Amino acid sequence: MTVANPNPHPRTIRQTLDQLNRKDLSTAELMTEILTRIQETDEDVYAWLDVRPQHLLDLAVAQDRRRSLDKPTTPLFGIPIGVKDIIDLAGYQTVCNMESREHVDKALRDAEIVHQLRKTGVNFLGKTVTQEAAAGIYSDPCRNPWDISRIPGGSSGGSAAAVANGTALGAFGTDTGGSIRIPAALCGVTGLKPTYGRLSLTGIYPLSPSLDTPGPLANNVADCMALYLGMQGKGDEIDAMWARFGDEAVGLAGIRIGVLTNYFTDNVSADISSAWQRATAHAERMGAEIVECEWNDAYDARIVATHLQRVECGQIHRDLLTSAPDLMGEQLRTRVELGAILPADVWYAALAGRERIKKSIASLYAQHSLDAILVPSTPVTAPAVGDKQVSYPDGTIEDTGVALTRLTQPWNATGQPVFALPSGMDQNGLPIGLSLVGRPDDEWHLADIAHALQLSIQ
Amino acid sequence: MTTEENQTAVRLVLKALRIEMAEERIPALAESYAQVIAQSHQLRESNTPVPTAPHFDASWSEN
Repeated sequence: MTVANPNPHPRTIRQTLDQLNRKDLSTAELMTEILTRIQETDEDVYAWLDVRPQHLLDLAVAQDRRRSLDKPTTPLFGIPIGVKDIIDLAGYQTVCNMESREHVDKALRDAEIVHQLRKTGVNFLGKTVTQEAAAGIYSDPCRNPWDISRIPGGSSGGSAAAVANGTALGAFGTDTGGSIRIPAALCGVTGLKPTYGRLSLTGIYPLSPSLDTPGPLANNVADCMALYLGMQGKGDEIDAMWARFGDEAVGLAGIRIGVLTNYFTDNVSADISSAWQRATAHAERMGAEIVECEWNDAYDARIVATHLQRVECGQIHRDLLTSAPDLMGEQLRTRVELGAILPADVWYAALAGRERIKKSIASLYAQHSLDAILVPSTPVTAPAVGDKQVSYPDGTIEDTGVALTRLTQPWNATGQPVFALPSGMDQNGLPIGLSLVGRPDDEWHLADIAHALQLSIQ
Repeated sequence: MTTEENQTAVRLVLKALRIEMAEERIPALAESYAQVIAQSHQLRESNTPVPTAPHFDASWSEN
């Protein structure tokens, strides 16, 4: 039971802008193409929640009129974008896939990052499906466009599925334990989890404010960086930015990439392990120096992130737990029940642990003069819907939620920026994702390396 | 702490926080609770004693 992905070479934002600016494509034609695709496939994929076709077509026609009069346009004029449904979009409900919020009022104003990106002229198509309260990796009822019997990952599952399925050129996600990188990996798209604190959380429903990090999903690194600039309110830098990410392959001479030989190699499927080795070999051929090293605090980093999230999520939803627990899904309820009863010193221990972890990873980068670390994003490709456990060749079994967040959560504890890069397919034709982890606040250098690697892998 | 003691502790906390819960949910919750507390103790033993504001300056400026 699969949907053939019709976009092996999906539209990128940059190519589409070129077509729009040359008037080879009109915004109305683009919008019609997108809306038709949504109409044809979203009954199976279910990435979208609230799409208003007539409003969007009217908007596109008005944009074409402006373009035809050669009036000035903005850097992402007419580009269709999705918004994860925990992020406020003026005029739309922010339901967060929570039954208790089904009748919540429409947002009166945009979340800050939406407000900033709106200035670049993008068209917001609507809201994308998320896991209940963004707390998990299934994103039900959304399905993976590569095989609709499988999950898209989460919690930004609808955003990743929309981009992978060609129904958006980019989308907003948020990442607390891997919620941008996991669906990016499972759906075969590019995602950026920026450094913690770089993008505003105003107008975003919280899961764990000490970890919550919004960011973009798109079809390549350059597109992600354009959206990232827009989200920061730096849209006026986008036009000049494109030249930085050319189509010509560039070398990685002088770049040192760390490959972690412990924790991130445990229980990883053979196909993903091979993809990781191939990418490492690509980087080496491009001139990068590959440095094998160990990071012995990865497990503690995961514990730190888990505990922060449990306690904070428990506090956020505690009132709902006491007033209307029946309106909570089983997974959210179980998570909140535990978080709500944990003593405060668990939270303080995690905060103290976080400081130690950050010093530990900083020392590793310093000791080996690393520019980035390359690791798998997930140990397995997209699990089947309903699979509560995943299994490995050695017979080991692991809870699906634990498995999918095992390699992503440590980087939430450290707060480092991470690019999730699609890196080929497994033997079942499902996307594989790798993570390129940079130094804090070093997104541009990381993007240069990620772009070079992406061109090479593709 | 024994399993029974742990479940009793969880019941007391739930009562103090006025969270109502079906009895059949208690064992699983108590088991998770005990696991987190154990992990937290372990984490505390590894930590330096002073939690500071979450920023990167000190650690990364030395690189």
